[in-house]
Amino acid sequence: VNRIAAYATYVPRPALTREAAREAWPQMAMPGSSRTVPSLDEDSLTMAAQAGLDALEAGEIPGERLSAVFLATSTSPYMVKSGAAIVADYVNAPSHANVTDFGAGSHGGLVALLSALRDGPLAERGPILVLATDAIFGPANDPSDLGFGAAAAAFVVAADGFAALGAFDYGYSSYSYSWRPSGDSELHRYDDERFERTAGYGPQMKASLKRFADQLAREPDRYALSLVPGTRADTLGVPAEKLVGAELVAAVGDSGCANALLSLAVALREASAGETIAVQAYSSGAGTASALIAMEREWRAPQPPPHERVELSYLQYAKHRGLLPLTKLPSFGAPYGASPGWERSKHASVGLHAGRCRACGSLNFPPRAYCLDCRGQEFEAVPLPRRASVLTFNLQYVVGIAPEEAPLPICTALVDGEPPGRYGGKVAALVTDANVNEIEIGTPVELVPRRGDVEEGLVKYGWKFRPRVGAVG
Amino acid sequence: MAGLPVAVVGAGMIRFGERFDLSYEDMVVGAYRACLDSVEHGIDEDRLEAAWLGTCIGSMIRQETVTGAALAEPIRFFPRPVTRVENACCTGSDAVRNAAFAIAAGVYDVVLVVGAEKMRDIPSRDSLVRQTSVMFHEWWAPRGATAPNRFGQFATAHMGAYGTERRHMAMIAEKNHHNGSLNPHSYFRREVSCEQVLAAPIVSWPLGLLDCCPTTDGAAAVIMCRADLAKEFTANPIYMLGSGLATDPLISSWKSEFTSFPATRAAAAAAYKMAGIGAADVDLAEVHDCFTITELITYEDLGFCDPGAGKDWLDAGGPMLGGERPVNTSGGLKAKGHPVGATGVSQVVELWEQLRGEAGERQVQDARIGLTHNMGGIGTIVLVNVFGSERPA
Repeated sequence: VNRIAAYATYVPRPALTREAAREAWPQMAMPGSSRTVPSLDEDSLTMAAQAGLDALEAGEIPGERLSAVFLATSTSPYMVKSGAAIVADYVNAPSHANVTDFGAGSHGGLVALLSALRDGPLAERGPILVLATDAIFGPANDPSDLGFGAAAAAFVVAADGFAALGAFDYGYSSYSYSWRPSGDSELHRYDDERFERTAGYGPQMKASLKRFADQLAREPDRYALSLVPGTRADTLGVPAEKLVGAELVAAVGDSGCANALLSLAVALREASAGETIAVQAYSSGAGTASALIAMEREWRAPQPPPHERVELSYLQYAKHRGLLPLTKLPSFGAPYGASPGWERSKHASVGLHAGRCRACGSLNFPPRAYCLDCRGQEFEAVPLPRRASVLTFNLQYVVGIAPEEAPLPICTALVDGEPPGRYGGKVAALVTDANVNEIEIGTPVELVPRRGDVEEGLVKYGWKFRPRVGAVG
Repeated sequence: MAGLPVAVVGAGMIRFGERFDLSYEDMVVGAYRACLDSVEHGIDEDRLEAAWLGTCIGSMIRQETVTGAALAEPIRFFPRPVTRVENACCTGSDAVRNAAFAIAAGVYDVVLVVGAEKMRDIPSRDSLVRQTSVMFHEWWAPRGATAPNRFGQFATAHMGAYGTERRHMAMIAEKNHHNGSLNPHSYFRREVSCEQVLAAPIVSWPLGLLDCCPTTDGAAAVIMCRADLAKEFTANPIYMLGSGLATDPLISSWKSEFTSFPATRAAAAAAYKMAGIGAADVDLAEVHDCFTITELITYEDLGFCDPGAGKDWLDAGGPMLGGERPVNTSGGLKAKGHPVGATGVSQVVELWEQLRGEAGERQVQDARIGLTHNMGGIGTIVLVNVFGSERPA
């Protein structure tokens, strides 16, 4: 029986608060307290990669062991090109992994998780990484935009774990209240809430919950459901004290594919052994998926302290969500090299593959034929440690990009990995999500997946440093 | 110098700077003629058997492959051999080194070296900023790297390790601008004060605008020959005594340290050994002050002072005109300018004037031994050439 073996969630730091939104749109009320939005160098895939890396680390599962990477999103940067494969690069999945994309609707995350939990033969080959991620926007002048959000959740499914799948249920309805046409970046909806009230989210969730409950021997202890900010438990027919995640959704907004799974993560964190959790996700125009998750034993994900929220003005929010055009982000690869060089180096540059010298232990990144420190020629392929500390830095005021593209000054740090060789064990990267005035020699930092520039519509994914919250320098 | 002794019998350059008025070919011709004019007894141009052309950025900005023909054609040198040299900011110095080696090896008797660079045919913002995208190596360039970025990180580390302050770097800019104001070949012939340097806009903290050398047009040329032929051309030749070239990792995050450039120490050791001298024997030096911090660290790496003591040596006036060992009497890259391929050759022009006692207000008293120092990349490749006024035994 497949089980959930680890999980992690990721919520980007930038947020638009109800107050900031009101300054731009006095007549529109934000349903929650805030909505999140990716940083300028983030997207659905970098958020998923971050959650995935954290989940694998929490479960102490090397990416090289994965049998599959399932990714669900309705907001991939690509119409045609696998987002799952990009995240698979980040987590170093092996080349024979089943790398599959789910999505097209916001219940895609749970559908992907169910697919993993129900595929015994696949999990026998190795753990499955399930990712659910979205960054959703509506038309700027429509109140719906203020209720959406951005987040990602990751679950590792393996033959051994702590929470197993019980009953499950699927429901289908093409009835649609909201949709996003091809080529459009905003979710449209009928400007008539009767569509939702009479036959959409509430009624469908309620109907499928009832159908699902009929399969269950006893009432679940917790409910992790697709929620929109402000949803009341009684409208879904669920006891208020058993509903989890409402607080999170009110701060994050409706994060699409990640929505119900963020709540599942909250429920898993709170639940004791023996408890059951009903998780249900809804997608307008697609239907529902439901599952009962039974906690067989407790498993506490190592929770890093939450990163400080960055409250945006509406003008900043407009830049973050692309209402004001920005030009390119800094490149992660030499532009002269264009695509061949980028593709050749991706294994090391996105997968963070390093070579640890078998003779002297020095970490060579990117890998080299001769060890930088001792000229050894035998290496063990290892992922570069993601945590390090600043060796030196500078604050860059003149760069080949316009100031709006990345807030200046840009801070570039060199860090030493563990264990540092004399030459090896160091990486250079931009710093992101930081108050640059807090960067000093010795500041603890971690590598985080981020976007670089875009060439021919292809995003160059790579890594930046972010100060480690709670770490002591 | 290993092999046959080598002399410099002529050296000349055009005024460095914003030379919108001159094409690349115009600059090559200008430097060549200035060099010919400097040969006191004159020289039959047919005596020049071969030439080396140092040009680096040219191929990037001109978007063409630069060959030796870029020198052979404008001065009607063909069909004689011209080797084009490119080695980042060591380009000019390496052209000098290789020309000298050809003489030392006994292959040629009299040769020409020209360094030339046309950097300002694009807007200045492009020429600085584009370096983000064209710096050599897919693992070097990424992540927002520019030259001021990487040297700025050395400045931060040096400040952290030794208590060096931005004020010390500003003193170097002030000194080099003062020297440049005395040099008719200099791009910037005006003084700047430490206060102005510190108040200038920040480019890459801790480096401000006046800590950075300018992108520059320019060309310089020298004529070298077998030492035993030198007196045919001039009563006062100078001699190349030694040369050292050293390398360090290309990827800047692979440096073994961030407060020193090991390649400078290695290149200097090799050059001193070949010349049979020590750092104490050097009377003056033209060093690579692409950024003020580079010059400060170079004092330490060349052995002019102890590691970490660059700031104290500055406070004591060591590198100033009239100081213990004047550095960058020409104004250096900072004030004279840095047309990459021409820079190393123009440093020989300064030593030519200094070691012959012809440097006017910039003259270092009793200058007998001088060195040139160039650094490519971020201490990735360093070249030190040593020259003296007396023919080696």
